[in-house]
Amino acid sequence: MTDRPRSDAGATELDRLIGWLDERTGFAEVARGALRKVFPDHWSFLLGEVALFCYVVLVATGVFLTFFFAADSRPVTYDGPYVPLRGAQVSAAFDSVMRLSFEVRAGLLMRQIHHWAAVVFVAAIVIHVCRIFFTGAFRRPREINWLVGFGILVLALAAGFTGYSLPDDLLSGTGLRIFYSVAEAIPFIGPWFAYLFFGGEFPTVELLGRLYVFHIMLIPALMIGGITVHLAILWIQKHTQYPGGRARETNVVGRHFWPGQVFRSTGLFLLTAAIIAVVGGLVQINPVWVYGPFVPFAVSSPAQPDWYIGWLEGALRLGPNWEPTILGVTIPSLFLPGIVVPTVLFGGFALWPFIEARLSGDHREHHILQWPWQAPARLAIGSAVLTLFVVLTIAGGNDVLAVFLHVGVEELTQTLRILAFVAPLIVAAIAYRLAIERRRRDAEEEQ
Amino acid sequence: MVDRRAAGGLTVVALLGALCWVVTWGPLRAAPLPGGETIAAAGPLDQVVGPPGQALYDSSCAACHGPQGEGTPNGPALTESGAASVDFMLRTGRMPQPAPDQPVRRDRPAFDEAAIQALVAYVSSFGNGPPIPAVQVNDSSDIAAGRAAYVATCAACHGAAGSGDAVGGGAIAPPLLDTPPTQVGEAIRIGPGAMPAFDKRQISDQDLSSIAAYLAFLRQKAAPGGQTVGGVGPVAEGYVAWLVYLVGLLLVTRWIERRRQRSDRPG
Amino acid sequence: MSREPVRRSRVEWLVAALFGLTALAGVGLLLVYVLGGQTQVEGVLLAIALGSLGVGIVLWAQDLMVTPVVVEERHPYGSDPVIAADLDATLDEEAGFTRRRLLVGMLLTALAGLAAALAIPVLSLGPAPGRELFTTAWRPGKRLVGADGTPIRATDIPIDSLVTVFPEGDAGSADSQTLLIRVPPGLLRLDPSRASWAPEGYVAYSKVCTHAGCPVGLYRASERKLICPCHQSTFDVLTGATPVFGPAARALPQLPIRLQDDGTFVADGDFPEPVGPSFWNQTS
Repeated sequence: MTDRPRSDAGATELDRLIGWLDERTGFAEVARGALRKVFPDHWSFLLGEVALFCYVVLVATGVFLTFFFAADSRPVTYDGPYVPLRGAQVSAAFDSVMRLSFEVRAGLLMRQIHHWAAVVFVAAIVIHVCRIFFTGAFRRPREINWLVGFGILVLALAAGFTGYSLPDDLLSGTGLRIFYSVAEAIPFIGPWFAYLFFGGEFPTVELLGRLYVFHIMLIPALMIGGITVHLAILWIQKHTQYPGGRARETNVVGRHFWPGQVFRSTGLFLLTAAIIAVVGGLVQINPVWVYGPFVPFAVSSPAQPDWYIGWLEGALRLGPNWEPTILGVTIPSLFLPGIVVPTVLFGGFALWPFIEARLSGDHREHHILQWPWQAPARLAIGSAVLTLFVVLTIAGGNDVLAVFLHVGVEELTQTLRILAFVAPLIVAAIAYRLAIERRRRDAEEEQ
Repeated sequence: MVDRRAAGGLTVVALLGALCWVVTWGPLRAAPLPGGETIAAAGPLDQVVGPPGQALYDSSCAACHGPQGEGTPNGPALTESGAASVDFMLRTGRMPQPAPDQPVRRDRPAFDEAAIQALVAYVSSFGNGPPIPAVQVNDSSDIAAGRAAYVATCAACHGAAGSGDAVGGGAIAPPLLDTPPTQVGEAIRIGPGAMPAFDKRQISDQDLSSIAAYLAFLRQKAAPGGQTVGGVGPVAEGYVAWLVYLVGLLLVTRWIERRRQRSDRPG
Repeated sequence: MSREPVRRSRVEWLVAALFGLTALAGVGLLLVYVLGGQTQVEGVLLAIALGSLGVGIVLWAQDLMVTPVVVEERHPYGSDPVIAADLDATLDEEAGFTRRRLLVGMLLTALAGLAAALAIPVLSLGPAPGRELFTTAWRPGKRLVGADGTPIRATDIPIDSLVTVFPEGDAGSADSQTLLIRVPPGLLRLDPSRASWAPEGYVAYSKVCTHAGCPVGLYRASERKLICPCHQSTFDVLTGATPVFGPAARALPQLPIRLQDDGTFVADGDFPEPVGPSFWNQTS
């Protein structure tokens, strides 16, 4: 490479630095293109960023926590400052979380920020997915990014579940027992798979270490890789935009990446972190000292997982008590709600871009979004599935809700069983009608 | 002239700050809950003063439980009740019931201290039953033993945090954090409603006091993390997370990309 | 002088003040930490520090910078069709795979075999289930003990009360956890072949829920119904712990027990069927 002559007259420090780097990497041209890349500005396009920033908070606080957590199920006797647990036999893992919460300065704050960030993270992903879905942003050429995003969602659920199971407390241990039972319900290979994953019959001493490996190594590696691919595809394909103004399929109307979007995104990150921080400090979450250490023959109620697993919990609670034995083979009652329902829902979710393209016959490229009512069928189907998830999630907390509403648990459960079928249909019908109406009115206004 | 948007933003910040103060040091801070409405524990029975128990019993209880506590179609016999049961039922307002076929519910007590003591003395004379247990909560209480006993025996229905839960069949295991220690002991011994009874060999008298001491601890000192949102675990935490997201983060994103910004005009 | 420059500098002062607030909150956070820490105060100060910085940065971008709306053209995706078509040829031009079908086939076979060999260590993660899921630690003659290992006596349990028991020597065992329940003797309506398994109104059932394995810890004593807290499966103690509500489909396995002369209990054998949730080859 020939040296490019640089005039030193009037060159600032930044100029010199850029020159030094550029002579060795040639990055300046790429960087300049990046800084001037145009991004459309709509508040609903920031929703994915909110999720991303939640994840940044998770990684930052998570690294802190790894310095204090011991993924060890060996029993120790607790002798820390929390009086009710003094002398109790707990695992070293539980003991390390107790120390972190009561003896490490800012330890409880970090733990709570971490956990609140996790529950908000999944909520942010769900809202972001809703925006993508209802505006048709997943259509060609963005099917790959939909699949990558689906992977990120599944990883987020796995990260959350493994994460809150790490303290080895009574509540999360009960959840692990249920996970083991659902694994056993996998056709034919269930017990083998459960034994493989857990290391034997529940409860095992190996499990805690394995959950830790998933939670701090395997899942974050896949997650960071997935997020990188997700953003890279978005960068290369350029962002979609809403119809209106000067927007066309062949352009992007918006603001330059630098400084407008960078500053706004940075501000969004700081505000997301601030909101999570204030909740993390003021509202208690997952008080493991109240649940106490996991003991396989004790249980507490109410017993629920974190909200994003609540749909599965609700499916298990609403599930029918069917356990047929066919030709000597028993089909466990967990099979339908625990294996079939998630497979169908998540399978359909993952394949949706291809399903919709097949059903609608639309295989063209799209860079202009649709307002949700401009695709009434999609709006109806999406609303129905969303409603089903909401009913199932509510059903996951049916005992808490029954006390709150002053009704019997059995009656509420029966009602929710009916609602799980009826509510999605009703919501779909209403959404469809409203969308058709809106489309008709828009068409009339245009004339 | 003050910039309106800046003033609006500062107002929001000030309101948020005030909200933070209210929940940390102000009126809504994580403080001990107000005491229950029931009357404190009874004194020794030989100091009963006031209307004789028999007169009270005949007017308020005999119609359903029989003149000698032998029972009627409307109410069970009280010959095995004992002082603990009578004291518990009267102090928690479960008895007297307005009508016999209604479910037994906690309510304001119908009698004052003297009347309750008189009734306890009279009804417990009908036969044998558990006496009012001596439950003491003080600095020497073994809270750790109380926690162990509570988790092993009580948490399944009443919740690890003592916040109560539905147990099906229309029954609810009530929250326990406001319950006076003697009533905790009485309930354990008599097993009111759907609750099983536990006698000395399952839960010793010492354990009664320890459990009550643990509940007192839960009420006051078990929330270093802040507001407990009901002590029912992830269900309430999930609602808070969604509330925080929908109210906080959606508002923030809308503000960041608000329509009227100075920066949009061409340079 | 027009109004605009005056209003601009007000925003500038506001942003500067917000940044100053961040600095103050940061120092405050440091102080609180040094003085011993307090979770709520730390959270609020951290939120103020991050929040005011965030608001300041956004206000700077919104009201102090000029970042106009611009239009950028999209480029069509997909490479030049000629180049894309050529990719296929480029892959094979020097490698010549299409002319070496035998080698390619054997290569794939070799890789499959190697993958199988490399996957073997995964199987070391767990043992084969064997018969473990079909048995617990209960054996004939094992005494019923509490969680602390002391034998349970009949007089320990009032009527309509219950206690969690284990086989002697395996107190705390997860799959052997059993509920010993005392009901008024005349009320039990068990299958005749099981009537002798419940002496004098004392009946023992597995505590592991047959739905998803949680301990069935709740007992509505007045109705003699056991409830599992996880999904509200309800079991009727008087009729052999048969499920009467909820998603459980199998009764809780019953443990045969005998009352001995000294008031303690012994088991007469293991549970007659596997405890806990069902699995596909359960009847084998």
